[in-house]
Amino acid sequence: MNKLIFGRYYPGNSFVHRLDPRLKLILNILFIVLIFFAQHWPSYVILGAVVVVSVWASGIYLSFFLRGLRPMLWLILFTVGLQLFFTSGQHVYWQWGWLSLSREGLINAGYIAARFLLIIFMSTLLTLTTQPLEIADGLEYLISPLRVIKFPVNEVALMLSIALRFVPKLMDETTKIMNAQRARGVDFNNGSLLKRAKALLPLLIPLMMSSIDIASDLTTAMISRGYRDGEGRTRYRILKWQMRDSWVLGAFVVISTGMLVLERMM
Amino acid sequence: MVPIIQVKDLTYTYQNSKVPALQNVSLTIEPGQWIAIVGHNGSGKSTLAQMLNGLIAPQSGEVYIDGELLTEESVWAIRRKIGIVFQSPDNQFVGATVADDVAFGMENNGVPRAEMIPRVQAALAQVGMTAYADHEPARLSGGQKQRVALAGVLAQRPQVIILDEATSMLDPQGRHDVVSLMTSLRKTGQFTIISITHDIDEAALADQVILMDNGKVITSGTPAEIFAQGEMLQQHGLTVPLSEKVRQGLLQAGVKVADHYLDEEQLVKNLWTLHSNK
Repeated sequence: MNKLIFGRYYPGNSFVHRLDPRLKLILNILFIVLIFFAQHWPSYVILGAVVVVSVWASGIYLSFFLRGLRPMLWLILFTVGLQLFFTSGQHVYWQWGWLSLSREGLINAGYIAARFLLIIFMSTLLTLTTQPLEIADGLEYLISPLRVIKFPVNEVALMLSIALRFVPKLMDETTKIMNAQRARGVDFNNGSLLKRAKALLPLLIPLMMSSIDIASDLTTAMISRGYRDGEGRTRYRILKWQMRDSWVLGAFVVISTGMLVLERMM
Repeated sequence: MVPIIQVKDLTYTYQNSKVPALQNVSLTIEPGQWIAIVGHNGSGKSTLAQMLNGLIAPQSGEVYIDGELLTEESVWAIRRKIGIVFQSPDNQFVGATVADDVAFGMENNGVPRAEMIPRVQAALAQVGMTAYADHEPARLSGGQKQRVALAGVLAQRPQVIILDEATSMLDPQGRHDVVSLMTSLRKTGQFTIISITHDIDEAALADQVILMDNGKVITSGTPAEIFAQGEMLQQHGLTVPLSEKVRQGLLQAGVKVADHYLDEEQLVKNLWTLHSNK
């Protein structure tokens, strides 16, 4: 049960694992932006090559990425289907009522599918090679300019890190309560949807109660260890920008500039 | 010498409760001692502990730590002098990894990072958890988590360490580890240790035992003095240590063991000398 939500991290020490989480977050965002500039097939070849090289450098089997694809499969098929049959074009290959299959539709659908695949591969790469805690640290750094508008960056970062830390604990708690309810005859797996939803109620209330208990204990412990607020705190864990991070960023800038120039020429 | 802890006339009643949790409690504790506060659930012992570092403010009475009166101004300085290890191993683990958790208290007090690193390492070495520095709490046993909590307290270099039923949720191995750690900390002589417990065998290790019931201090004395009064302990909902039970059983069976409280080692010695004197 522990592995369910945040178990997507794949422990390792590859080049991609060791990159700064801030870099990985920024590159993910930039990559998605770049994808929407890609209108012609050579750009997709370049972007595809970037993904292939990144996946190879992470040393993670392709099957892990395909698993990340599975929950998105229906969404992809649906969108691709829409593009396929509802794009009007001049070269119509097949028509039935208001459904038509045109050359433009085929091309559009291909691009959409490629965009989905590229984005999913890249973001799966981020979660597979970066621990949730590192992602939280990276996010804290990236949102730190918000301090100017009095946004409580430190507090939010601590909240995030405590939330991540308590996920396995709450999972254990859920299993424990479920077992206790099963022993009293609650059936979580059978019956109509409404019946199953009702069965969740005796699960949610004890879980809520125990979360509040944990929070209250944790508060006491934090105060007695001198926690006041984010002000005046020093940090034990810090992120270090390495030479390799600059190299990767540089390479990405060169590649994306190249791609944009290519797009303009076509 | 200035007593490290002095409380005068503490009284406190929780909201929604008619009975006071503490009634006119006064105590003086000298530095370097190991004090055990014993009493059954609801005797007021945990309330007393939480008052020592200002987690609960007394409705009347005063708390002095190291000669300084506990007030709203001095409370943060006093929390730096007192470290508490709480009962639940999980619910006091703030950090995402062992090292992060040990550093948490120092981060709060603005200790520079360069100083934190050696202090985290030293504290982890002291509790024997160096190998686990990068582990997440989910991968540790209860006893290991309590040792990490103790390391977090040690890293802050407190004068007083309070263990608020810190061993009550642990398995025998975890309990043994924590208790032997406390024994080795006592030997350094740097800390005043206050262990709040209803484990009478743990209390037997202390220099002084304070017995509480109904929010009052019933009696205090050395473990030998307290445990000799077996009936009184039972009246207040506590048991007698194993060695005392054995001694009384032997007395009833007509064996002429010593007529005062003995810890386990002394009892064994007493028994074999008894035998060889025949």
